Parts: sequence; structure tokens; C-alpha cells
Amino acid sequence: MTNKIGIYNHSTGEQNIREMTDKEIAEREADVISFAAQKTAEDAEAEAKAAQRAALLNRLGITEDEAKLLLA
Amino acid sequence: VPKFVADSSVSPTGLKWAAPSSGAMVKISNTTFSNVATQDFDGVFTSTYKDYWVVVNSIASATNSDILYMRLKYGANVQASQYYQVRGTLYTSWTVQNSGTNEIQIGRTGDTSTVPKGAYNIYLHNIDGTAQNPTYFGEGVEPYLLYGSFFGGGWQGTPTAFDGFRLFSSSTNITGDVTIYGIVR
Repeated sequence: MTNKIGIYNHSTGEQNIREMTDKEIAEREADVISFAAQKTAEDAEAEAKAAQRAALLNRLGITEDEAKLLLA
Repeated sequence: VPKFVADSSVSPTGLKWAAPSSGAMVKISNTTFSNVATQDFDGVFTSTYKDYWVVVNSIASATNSDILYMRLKYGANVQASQYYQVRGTLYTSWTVQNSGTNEIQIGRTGDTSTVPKGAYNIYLHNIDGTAQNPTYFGEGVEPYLLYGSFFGGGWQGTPTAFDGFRLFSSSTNITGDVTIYGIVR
């Protein structure tokens, strides 16, 4: 990933591209790590819910499509 | 419709653009950008306009699993906290969640190698932060994998006169085309 920042200045109507400063790069990297951790947590939650749903359907002895029909 | 009026400030009297009437929607800018880590829109929010419509005509990154985010700016400062929001993602079924508070979560970007790209409408109200705290909402789609998105919320910090914003993705660089409209006070 290139570390460039685009800045459209509405006072001048010009788009400028510059290299990010070390501080901006560090902040960007921290953001990316945070977003990755957030996605991992969300994926784990979704997988856990899917497993719970499958176990419940198994106990009820019906398929997912049949469950949707019941709830429609 | 833009109009000319007499401009008596020059001699002989000439013409100048008439000030748009209250409530008129005015195109403020159109910006294209390519392969940048972040894209800033500085000095776009002014006392001339009350509300704003940010049209993300297209947005893409290296992978369409990336999420497009927005943060408000004031001067060179980027606000990275105190956003509160709810969002829904439609992909075979709805997923509803409260998003994190460090940025506004818009939706999935498209992929630079596929078409069509992601596209979003973002509506911003009370953005100068003086009358009441800014609120925002919007909707859009990542049309290649068919992820729909609806989001909305508000900024709950100390009243701040925001004058710009930043777009960026959850991981890779972004390429896009953004048009901004303002509603005249």
C-alpha cells in the first residue's frame, strides 16, 4: 500500500497528493489493525450464531427452509 | 438555475453571478482520486450552506471486503471519536448492528478489478455544530457482491464547527469519484 494522502482544497479548487507523515502512517496502521480485530470479532460472532441456529434446527428436526416457512 | 445580476462594484457596471436563493441545492465540487490511503475534503463546509449531500459516485479498493469509512475534520484535525450510529447490511438477509464510535461506517467498497464499483449517498445535517450536534445518514450498495447498506447516527461530542471530512477504507488504498452538493441557508 502506498502511503499517499489526497487533499481536495475547496478554497483553491485543487486536488493535491502528498506523502503521509510518520505520525499519519502510524495512525493509519493502528486503524487498520483495529478494523481487522473488529472484523475478526464480528466473524466469530456470526459463526457462533450460525452454529447455534444449526444445533437448534437439529433438535427440532427441521431444515432451515422449513424454519423460514414457519416464521414467514 | 444560476443567474447573472448587475455588478456595480466595477466600472462600467458589469455582471456577476447572483447569490443562490435560500433552499437551493448547489454543486460545490467534484473530486476524483486514485490509489490513496486517505482522501480529505478540506474547507467544504461553510456558513453558506445548511445541509450537505455527498454523492460517492464510485468507490473501490484492492478488495471489496474493505469497508468505506468517514471522519469529520476541523482544520487539520481529524475527529476520531464519539460517533454513535446504527447500521444495517443487506446480504441475503439483514444484519443490524451498532457500529464502532471512532468513525462513520458507510459500507463495502467495490473492487478496483471488477465493475460496478461501490456507490453511496451520505447526508450531513447541522454540520457546523453550532445549532445542534451534527447528524448523518445514508445508503448505498456494493453492487458486485450485492451488499446493500443503510446507516445513520450523530456525533455526540462538544459542539465543533466541522469544515471538512476524510474518506478511507478498513485496509487498502481507495480510488473514487465524489460530488458534493450544499443546500443554501
